[in-house]
Amino acid sequence: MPVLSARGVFVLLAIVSLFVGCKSGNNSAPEPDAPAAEPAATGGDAAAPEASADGMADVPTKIDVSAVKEEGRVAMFVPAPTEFQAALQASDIKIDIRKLVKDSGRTLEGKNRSIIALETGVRLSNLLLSVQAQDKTEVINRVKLARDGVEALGLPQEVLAGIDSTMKEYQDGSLSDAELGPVLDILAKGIRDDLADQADPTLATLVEAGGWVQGVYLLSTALGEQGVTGDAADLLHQPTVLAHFTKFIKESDAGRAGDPDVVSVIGELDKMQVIASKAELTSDDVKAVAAHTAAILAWF
Amino acid sequence: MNRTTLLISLFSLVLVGSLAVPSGDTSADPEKARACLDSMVSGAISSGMRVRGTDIYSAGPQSAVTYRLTLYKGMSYVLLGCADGDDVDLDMRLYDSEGQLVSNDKSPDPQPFVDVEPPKTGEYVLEVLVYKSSAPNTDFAVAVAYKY
Repeated sequence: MPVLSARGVFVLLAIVSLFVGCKSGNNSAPEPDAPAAEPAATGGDAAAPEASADGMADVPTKIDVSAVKEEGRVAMFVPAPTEFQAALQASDIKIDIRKLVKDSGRTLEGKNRSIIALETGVRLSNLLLSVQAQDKTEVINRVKLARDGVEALGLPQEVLAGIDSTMKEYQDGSLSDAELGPVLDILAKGIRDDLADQADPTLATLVEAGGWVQGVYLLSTALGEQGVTGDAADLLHQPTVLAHFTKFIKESDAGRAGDPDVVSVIGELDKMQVIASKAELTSDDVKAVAAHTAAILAWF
Repeated sequence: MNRTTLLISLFSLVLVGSLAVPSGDTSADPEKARACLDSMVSGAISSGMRVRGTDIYSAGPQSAVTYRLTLYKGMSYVLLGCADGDDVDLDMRLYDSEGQLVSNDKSPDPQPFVDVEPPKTGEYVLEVLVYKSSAPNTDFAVAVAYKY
């Protein structure tokens, strides 16, 4: 995937201000006269939609989503680590997990590629979370840590050059703190796409898994220390995401081969699945999630 | 950045995007879909949003592709889509984990978007429907953006 120029991301804004358009048929709520029950299409299967009198597709108010659990695409299934912080802010919960980010000191030396991918996900997560909340020196150091992971995974030179040029723009001030976050979102997505396309598709998912575990660790630690439950703890209640990653890691080459580090990670994920099966998480559950994710990270 | 400003930006980008996609070209073209989506994503970013991820896929006329999404209660999300030609009618529908419709865009254009504040944290289903297209296969790109 080509790496976008950092400045290029913002170029269109000037054009946008010149146009104001309008769009019909955009609804935020179900339409009262829409027909009921149409089987959900999956993976490109025909949906056979009906047309309404205005020539637009009728929109069923209810579908059967059971098949989607198995066949729906998961490219955008897992929330970004930064969404934890955004959700806390949206719920007016005064916890800033960005300030809790600390670099672990773990190295990549002697690790297998699965663990390197997981650790790279942690490093990218730390970077994306803290980019607008910590000082420039720390941000630059985190970019370097993430770059080391990307390099160890064998991504091509052009990807590393994209990271380097973004950092150069950030260091010389042509890219602001506010602009860097979105640019790094796109860069991180490009890295995962490149892993999927050019290196090994499984590594892309492991990078995503590592970032998710780090986000869950930071949030559960913060909530556990303050005894917060309710909507904030609900952010940790992601049984389907957990099941998605657990299944993936179990079926990975390292998982099937019984790699001891990966087997240990799977053991902790299985314990988290027991907690995730509950309807609501208690304060003790939140603390247990923090302990399990800390144990997982220790294996990276 | 408020919600109105964001929506005005996206409305504008739908117009800009439709100008950017040449008419009459009916062959599948993932790069065209990607470039169109990049424009919409730029609008979202300039409105203070961050991007979770993107995907490029294809489907024939009257066919839908489904995505599993985990969304958080209280957040403001915008789901963006862009097809590879301006003769395409691409629609989006968002359902909750029970299959109930939450939001949709069925306007007859190639650049749907759905803005949503999820009523609860959990798994949702995004259905992307190629409702009309003269090509046997239509490439489209989709993205999930959120207010940060």
